[in-house]
Amino acid sequence: MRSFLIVLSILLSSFSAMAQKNVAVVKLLRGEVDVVNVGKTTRLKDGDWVVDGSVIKTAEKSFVKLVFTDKSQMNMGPSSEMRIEKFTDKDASVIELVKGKVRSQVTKDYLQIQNKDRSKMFIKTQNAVLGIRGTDFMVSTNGINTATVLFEGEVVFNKIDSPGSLSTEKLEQIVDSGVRIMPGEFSVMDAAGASPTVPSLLNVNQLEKLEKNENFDTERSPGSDSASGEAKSVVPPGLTGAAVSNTAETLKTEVAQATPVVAGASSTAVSPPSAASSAAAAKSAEGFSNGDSVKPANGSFVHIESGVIIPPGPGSVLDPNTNTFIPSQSGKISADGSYVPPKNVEITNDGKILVAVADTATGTVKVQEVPKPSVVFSNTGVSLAKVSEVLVNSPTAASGPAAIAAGPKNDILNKNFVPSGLSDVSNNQRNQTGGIQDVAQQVNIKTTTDVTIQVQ
Amino acid sequence: MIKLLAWMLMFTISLCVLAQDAQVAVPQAKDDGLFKKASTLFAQGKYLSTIEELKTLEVRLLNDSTSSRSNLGLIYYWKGMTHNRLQEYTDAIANFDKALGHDYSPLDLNYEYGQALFAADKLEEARLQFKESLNKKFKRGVSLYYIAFVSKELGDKKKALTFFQAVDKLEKEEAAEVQQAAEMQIADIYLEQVESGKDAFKGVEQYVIPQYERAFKVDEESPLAPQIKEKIVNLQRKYELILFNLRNGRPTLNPPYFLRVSQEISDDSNVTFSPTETTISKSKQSSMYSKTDVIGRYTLYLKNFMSFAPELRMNNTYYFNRVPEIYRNDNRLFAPALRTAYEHTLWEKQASTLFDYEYSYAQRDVNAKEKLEFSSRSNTFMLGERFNFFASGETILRIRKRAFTSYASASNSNTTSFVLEQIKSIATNTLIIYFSYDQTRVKNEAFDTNAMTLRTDLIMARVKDWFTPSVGLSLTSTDPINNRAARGQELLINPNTRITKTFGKSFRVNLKYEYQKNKSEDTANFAFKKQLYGMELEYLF
Repeated sequence: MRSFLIVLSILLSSFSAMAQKNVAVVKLLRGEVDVVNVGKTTRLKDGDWVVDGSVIKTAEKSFVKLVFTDKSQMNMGPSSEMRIEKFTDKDASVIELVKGKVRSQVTKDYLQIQNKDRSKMFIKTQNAVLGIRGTDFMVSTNGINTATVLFEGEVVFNKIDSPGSLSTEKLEQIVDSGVRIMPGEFSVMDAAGASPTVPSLLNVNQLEKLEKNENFDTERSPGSDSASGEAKSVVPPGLTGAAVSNTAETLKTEVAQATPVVAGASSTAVSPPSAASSAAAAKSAEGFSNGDSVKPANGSFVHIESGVIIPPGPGSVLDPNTNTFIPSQSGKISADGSYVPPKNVEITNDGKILVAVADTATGTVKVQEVPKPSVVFSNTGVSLAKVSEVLVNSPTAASGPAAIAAGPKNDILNKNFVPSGLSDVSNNQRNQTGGIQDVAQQVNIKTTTDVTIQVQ
Repeated sequence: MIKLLAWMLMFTISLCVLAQDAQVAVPQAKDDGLFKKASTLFAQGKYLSTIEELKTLEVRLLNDSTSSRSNLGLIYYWKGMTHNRLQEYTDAIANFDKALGHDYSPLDLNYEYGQALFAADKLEEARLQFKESLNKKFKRGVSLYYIAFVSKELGDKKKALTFFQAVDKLEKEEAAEVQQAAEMQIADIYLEQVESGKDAFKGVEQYVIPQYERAFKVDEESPLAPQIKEKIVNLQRKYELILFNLRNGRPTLNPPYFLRVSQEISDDSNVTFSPTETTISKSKQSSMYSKTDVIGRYTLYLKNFMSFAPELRMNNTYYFNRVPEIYRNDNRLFAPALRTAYEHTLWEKQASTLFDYEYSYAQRDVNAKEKLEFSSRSNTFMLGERFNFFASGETILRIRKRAFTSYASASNSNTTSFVLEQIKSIATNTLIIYFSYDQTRVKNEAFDTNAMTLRTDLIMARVKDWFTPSVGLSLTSTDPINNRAARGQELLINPNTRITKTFGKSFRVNLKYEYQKNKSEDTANFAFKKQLYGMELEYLF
């Protein structure tokens, strides 16, 4: 009887495996990539097929390129895990990205879904879902936050409470009410946020490097990785980045004179904004924060692994050609498109910003966590490259982050850290008021919970 | 045959000519598209690819005997521009240098070159490029500012000052972007000068601060304005030009004035009439009402230990339901006060001894003649102590004495109060606890009361940066000591809530709701219940 049961179970699992159809073939592979199917783990190699329902896992420094039966491609980066929840060429497919990053080129022409406003594929993470409508994009998650960058086409992006089993109709409804990301833009769904960030233009350097690195090659030659994110700003103190920025008007004229055909050849030719519109463009590039609606500054970096957004620091120049800021002293981009924080700063994959701070009292260096920066551009504040220096000078540095949040005494910090207005107001106003009503009224106007370090 | 040969010859010659034309036309067509790809890539912000493309073109042109020098110059200039946008300043400098080496110097080359040199800390060379840029009249204001700033960095303060001052001589449009910063830099230089000499105090007061103020006034809303303001404040603090902290460390008020104007429109479900505070008449009718309130206060400091704050409050209330039971509540209040505080320390913490005098004069339509007449006046003296006993917030203890004169002399009264207020911060919320014990002795002794009030207000943190909610509950237990048999122990229950939304720096809107229920055995005269809800718009100067 026992033998019969074993045989029966083997047969059943075989049937079950046979019932699963091949959906993608391995076209390129680097390092160690496993596929888990019906509880069985197999090491993948070039030319292998993966079936519907499989879970694919890449090890550190590993990569796999899958080509699906509809000819769309999906490249999985290192330390990633992805489940093919449902794959069909008649309806939208559903992929769950458990962790890591995926670069996908989904070509709508290959899909047999006629309605262009419907998603051809959904990619779910722990807290977000993307509806793909024919596109080249990258999505990453650390299991907490989700970041997505679009290179071509269009994706719609929104929050989900959990990646559990949702019908494609439901997913379509969710993404329809989300944000629409256009090429060159990014959006981040932070676990603490109510909705994804309003799409903003990614730093052009990072965008281009990410776009070129479709195989997640972490060992790309340094190439043009000469830009130093900690170089001195070209903005002299007192001026704004917008004031010193230069349009490409002269360049356009020069190019037009050299090759007359080019001038009118293409709508994408160098065409700087008019003076009147440049101020408005600069304003729109700065981003905004309006309740749950947060738009990071154009030209921000994204720490892809964690979804942390690093806005351009003070002293950044607006590039009217792209309407993005050229970040100053905010870190740099490595050849593979990864964000590299400035010296003495580290961003962990779970999104913590750690700063090495010299403890002048003990002569040691300790690591201190600082809150995430405001993602809106500001001419004031401390650039990320200077945070360590500022904290060293702070008398509260030795007391840890809580002391910083409470509002340090240091003048430089006072300028940039926003302590609760409550104590000041209540003290000041109570100094002169007699009744409790007045106290309540005065406190009311400035009461705020936001105790933040304004790192820019 | 000769004809045929002649035709063939002509045909061959024509073909040769055409072929030559074609040979000429081919490179022309090729050149037309020479920069198309680079232009497209640059316009798309694909600067790395632009540089790759320009490098390819550079090699091609270097190996092409027909290429002109100016095209190579353009490529170097373009590369320099692109490297600048990638913050690759060393590469930018090298390419701008090459462009100039090819006698190629378009309008903005020196400016961009100067910026690259500035970022690379090659200040002398940067200054030369910005001078060239200025000569070309390219971004004159900014170029001039760079020259001045670099001169300052190089220690040439005199030259820096001259260039910063020259900004003022530019056309308004050219100077606009840099004028405020230039004025601030001038003040910075003044400051360095006066601080390096004797009598810095005088120099700061006479030259430096006025110069910063001039800079501030250029644009009080600019991103730079707060920095300038801060410099002024820091100097005032450093040279003790203004009192910032009292001797116990308590900050002085800045600004020293406080002025608030508010307009409230509310609905009272049961308008009650109690001008003497000894009786209550219920109208059992509802009415909307309008209340306009103005309060202003100015604080003066005597050295660093004493403050005097004259205050004036005025308000006017008007009921829209024009029946006598209601409109007799129309009233007007005029209430000046003088508040003083003596600053000291208690248990080594900030403390203040408070002494206040308040006068109030009220008019009311007491005779329901749609005419405001004298209703009451009062003189109140208060002696109190504010101290920090608990770490979570300040405590205030007060003794208050009030003499109340009514239009009905039988209602004249004297009240002695003992008050305790405690502020407590709970995480991001603030809890305010108020307790008072009031002994009121009325000319008509039947109305004598002893009352206890306990009130708590919880002011919560701003919700999603949108509004600030608060809730409160007040309980007043009144013992009509000479009329217990008729009234019994009375209890006024008064829960309330408020939502406040702030607009800009000065406007805020309050939505208010409160419920009042007074329990009394004398249901005809003292028991009542009512609801009040309304909206208040405030402006703070």
